[in-house]
Amino acid sequence: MKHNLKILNVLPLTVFFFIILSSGIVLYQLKVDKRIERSLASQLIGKNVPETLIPKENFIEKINNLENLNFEKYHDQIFAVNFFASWCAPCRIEAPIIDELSKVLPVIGIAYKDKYLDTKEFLDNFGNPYIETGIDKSGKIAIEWGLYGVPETFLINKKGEIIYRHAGPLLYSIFKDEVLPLLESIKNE
Amino acid sequence: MNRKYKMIIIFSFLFLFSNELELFAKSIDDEININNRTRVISQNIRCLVCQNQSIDESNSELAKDLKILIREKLIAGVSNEEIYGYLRERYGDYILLKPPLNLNTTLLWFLPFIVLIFGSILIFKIIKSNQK
Amino acid sequence: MIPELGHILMIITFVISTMQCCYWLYNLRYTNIDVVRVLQKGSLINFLFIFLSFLILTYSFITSDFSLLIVSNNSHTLKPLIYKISGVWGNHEGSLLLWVLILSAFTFFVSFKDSINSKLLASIIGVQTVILSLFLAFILFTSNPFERVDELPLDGRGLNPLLQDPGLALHPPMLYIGYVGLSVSFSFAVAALITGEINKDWARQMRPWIAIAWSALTIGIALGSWWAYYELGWGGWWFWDPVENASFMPWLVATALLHCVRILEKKLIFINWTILLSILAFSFSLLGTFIVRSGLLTSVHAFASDPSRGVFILIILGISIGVPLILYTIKSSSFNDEKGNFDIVSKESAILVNNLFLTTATLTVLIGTLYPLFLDAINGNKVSIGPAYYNATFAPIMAPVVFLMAVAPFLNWKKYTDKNFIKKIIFLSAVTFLGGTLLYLIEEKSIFALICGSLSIWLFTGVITDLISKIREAKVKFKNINQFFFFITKINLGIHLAHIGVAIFLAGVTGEQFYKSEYNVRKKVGDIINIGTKSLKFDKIENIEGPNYHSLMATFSLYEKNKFISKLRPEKRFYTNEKSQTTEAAILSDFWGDTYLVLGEGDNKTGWSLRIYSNPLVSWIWAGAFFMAVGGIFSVTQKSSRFRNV
Repeated sequence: MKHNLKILNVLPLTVFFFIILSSGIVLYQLKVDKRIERSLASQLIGKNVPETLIPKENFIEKINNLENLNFEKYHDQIFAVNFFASWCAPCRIEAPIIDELSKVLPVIGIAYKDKYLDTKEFLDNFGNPYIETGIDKSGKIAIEWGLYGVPETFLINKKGEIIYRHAGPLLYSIFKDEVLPLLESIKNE
Repeated sequence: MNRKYKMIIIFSFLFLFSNELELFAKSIDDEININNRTRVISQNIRCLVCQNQSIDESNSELAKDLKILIREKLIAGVSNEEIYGYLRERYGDYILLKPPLNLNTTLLWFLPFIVLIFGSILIFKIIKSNQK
Repeated sequence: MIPELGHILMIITFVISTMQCCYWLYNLRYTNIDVVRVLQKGSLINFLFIFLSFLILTYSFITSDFSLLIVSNNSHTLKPLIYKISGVWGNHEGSLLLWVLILSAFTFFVSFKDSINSKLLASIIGVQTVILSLFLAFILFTSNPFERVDELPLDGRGLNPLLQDPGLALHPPMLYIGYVGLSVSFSFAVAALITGEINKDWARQMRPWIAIAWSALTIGIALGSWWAYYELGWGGWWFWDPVENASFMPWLVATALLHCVRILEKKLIFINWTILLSILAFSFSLLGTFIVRSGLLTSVHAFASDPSRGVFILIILGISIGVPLILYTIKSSSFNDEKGNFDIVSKESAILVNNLFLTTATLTVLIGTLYPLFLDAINGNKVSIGPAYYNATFAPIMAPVVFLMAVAPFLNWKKYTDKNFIKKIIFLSAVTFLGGTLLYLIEEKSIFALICGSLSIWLFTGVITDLISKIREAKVKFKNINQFFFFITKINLGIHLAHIGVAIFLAGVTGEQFYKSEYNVRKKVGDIINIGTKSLKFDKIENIEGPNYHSLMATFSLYEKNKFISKLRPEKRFYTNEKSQTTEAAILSDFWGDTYLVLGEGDNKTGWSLRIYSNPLVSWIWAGAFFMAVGGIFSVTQKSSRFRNV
C-alpha cells in the first residue's frame, strides 16, 4: 500500500512531462517538416492507378483519340495525371508549370466537374499541355483517385503505380525541387 | 370449360397483380431503407474539406458527390462495410469519423477502460483501508 | 495616443506584478500580515490598471479606431454597438486581455479575504500573481492588442458574421470566468504545497470559488452549445469538436473537485487527491484557453505559422503546471491523511466512485482530442475522432455517474444508517420501470434511448425523493427570511437543483438524440409541407436589408391540426463587408420541443431546398444547464455543512 502511493505521487509529473515533451516534438515537426502536407500524399502512393472510365463523349479531341481513357497504352512509360477545372482559379496559376511538365513526360488532363465548352475554352486560353483530356462530369473519377479538390497532380511510374501526389497548384519551386529530382531518380532505375 | 378458362385467367391476373403490388411495396421499403443507410454512413464520414463536420451535415461539393456515390453503391447492393473500406482505401482512416480498431488506435480505444479498471482496484483498496 | 496609454499601463502592470512575485518569494519564509498587506495593494493596483487598459481597448473598438491592428481586422463602422464591444474579445489578443482582466479581478477579490490565515493568503496571492505576470509577458511579447497598423485602412474588415450574435457575445466572458475562477483553487492547492499546511478550513474557504467557477463554466459551455444549435444550422447542439472538448474537460474535473472537496471539509482524508484535482482543473483551463486561441487543433497551419507563440505557450504551460507538479511530487508524501473510518456504503465512498468515473471520462475526452495530433506526429497517420467514438467510450463511463447521482445523496457521511435507503431504492426502481415502459410504449426506439430516458427518470425521481425526505427532516418553520435561508442551507437545495438540472438535461438529450425527425424537401412558394401533426405553408420569399447585411428571407406559416400557430422566417444572410454568408434557422420553441427550419439553395422556378427538424425536448438541454449553474450558485452561499447531520 505504501509503495503503491509512492508511484501515485510521481505519476502526475511523469504524465505531464510526457505530454509536454510530445507537444514539443509535434511543434518542432510542424515547423520543420510540414508533415501535414506530406501525409496528405500518402494514401494512394505505391498503389496501382485506379480504374478510370471516361465515356467517349466526354473526351476533348487532341490526337484523334476517341476511346475510353486507357492507361494500358502508357505501360512502360512514366506519365502524369492532372486534375483541373475551368472554374478553378489556382489551375490558371499552375497552367504554365503543367506546360513545363508536359515537355518532360506525357500529361493526361482530367477536367473536374466541368462542361465541354468551358473546358475547351480554358484549354484554348491557357494552352493545352495534355496528351489526352477527359471530363469527369459527375466527380466520381475524382473520388476514385481520392481527390480533395482541384488542382491535384499525380505521377505514375512504369509499373503503373502512383509514386507522387501533389494537392494544390503545382508551383514552380515544387516542380523544380520535388518533381524533377524524383523523375531523375526513377529514370535510373 | 369456358368457365374454367375464365377462372384461370382471373386467377393468373390476380396473381400477377399481387406480385406487382408486392414489388411496389418492396420498392418503397427499399427506398426508405437505402435513404436511412445513406444517412447512417454519411454521419460517419468526415467532410474532408470542412472543419470537423460529417458529410451528412455538409453542403460542400465533395460531400454531395460522396453522398450520391454512397447511395448508388447501396442501390447496387454493396454492404456498409465495403463502402467504408472503399473510401478508406482512397482517403485513409482520416475519412472515417469512427476510428477503426487497429494497431494505431489500440491506445485510443482501450486506455479509458484500462484506467477505469486500475482506478476501480485502487479505489476499492482505499475504501477497504479506510473502513472501521 | 490613448492606445499607447493602454499599452504603457500593461507594461507597468507587468513590472509591478513581477516585482510582487519577487517580493513574495523573498519573504516566503517569514510571511506575516504585513507582507499580505503589501501584496493586497499590489493586486489592487494590477486590477485597476488592467481594467483601465481594457476600457481603453473597448473605447478604441467603440470609436472604430482603425489605426489599431486588431480593431481594423475585427471591426467595422457599420457594426452594431454591442458587436463592436464583443469584438474586443472576438479575437486572440483582446480575448487574452479579457482573460488577464478576469484573473486580476479574481486575485483582487481573493486577496482581501482576511479570514484566510496570512501565511496561506500570501502564497495564494503570490501564485495568482505569478500566473498574471506570465500571461502579461505572453501578451506583451507575442500578442499585443495595442499594435498599430502601418497604413490606416478606410474601414475595418469586420467581425466574422457567425460571431455577431448575442449568445456568442456573452459566451467567452462566461467561459473565461469559469476558466480563470479555477485559478483560485489552483492557487489554494499550490499554496498548501508551499506552506505544507492543510486543514478543514482550507477546504471550506476554497469551495465557494470552485462553485462560482463551475457555475460560470456551465453557463459558458451551455451558451456556446446553444449558439451552435441555432446559428450553425445543422440542428445539432454538441459536436465533440476539439474546441468544445477543450471547455468540457475543465468542467468535468471541476465537477469532480466540487464533490471531492466536500469530504475534506469533514475530515482530513484524500488531501493529495484534492490538491491534484485542483491543479488538474486549472491545467485543463490553461490547455483550453491556449488550444482554442492557438488554433493548434482546429487548424494546424495557423499554429505553425507563428511558432514563437507556440513555444511561448509551451513555456507558460511548463512553468505553471510543471512547477506545481514537481512540488506535488516532493511534498505530497508529507501530508498524512487521517483514518477515514467510513463504511463501504457511505457518502465518502460514493464521492470517490464519482471522482473515478469523472476523471476517467475526462481522460477519454482528452485522448479523443489529442490523439489525432500525436498519432500524426509519431507515424504520420491521420485519424478522425467523431461522435461515434465518444458514444462508445464517454457515454458508458458517464452512465454509472448518473445512476449513482440519484442514490448517493440518500447516504450519510461515515455510516450506513438510513433504514429507508432500501425502501427508497425500491421506490426509485418501480417508478423508473414504469417510466421506461411508458417510454417504450410511446415510441419504440433503440435500447440506448431506453437507457438514456430511464436514467433521466431515475435521477429525477431520486432527487425529488431526497428533497422531500430532507424537507421532512429539516422541520423548520418559516417565520422570517433568515429562517428561509437557514432552511435552504439545511436541505442542501444547491445540490438538488444541480442534480435535477442533470436529469432535465438528460431528458433533453434523450429527446434530441433519439426522437428527432428530419425532413429534406424542395418546395415552391404556396406549397404545404406536412410534418407529423403539424404542417408548414410556404408563404413568400423576399429580400430584406439589415444594418450590415442583405438577407433572403422566407416566410412560412406553421399550423397544428389546421390551427395557426406562428410564422417562421428562416434567412440566408450575406454580409457584404466580410464577404460571407450565414444561415439563420427559424426556430419555434415550446415546452415539448422545437421546430427548426433551414432555408437552403434554390430559386423560384425549381423550388427551394428546405431542411426541417422536429427536435423534441431540445430546449431542456440548456434549461438543465441553467439549473445546474443556479444550483452551483446556491451552494456558494452554503458556507459549510455544519448544519447537516454529523
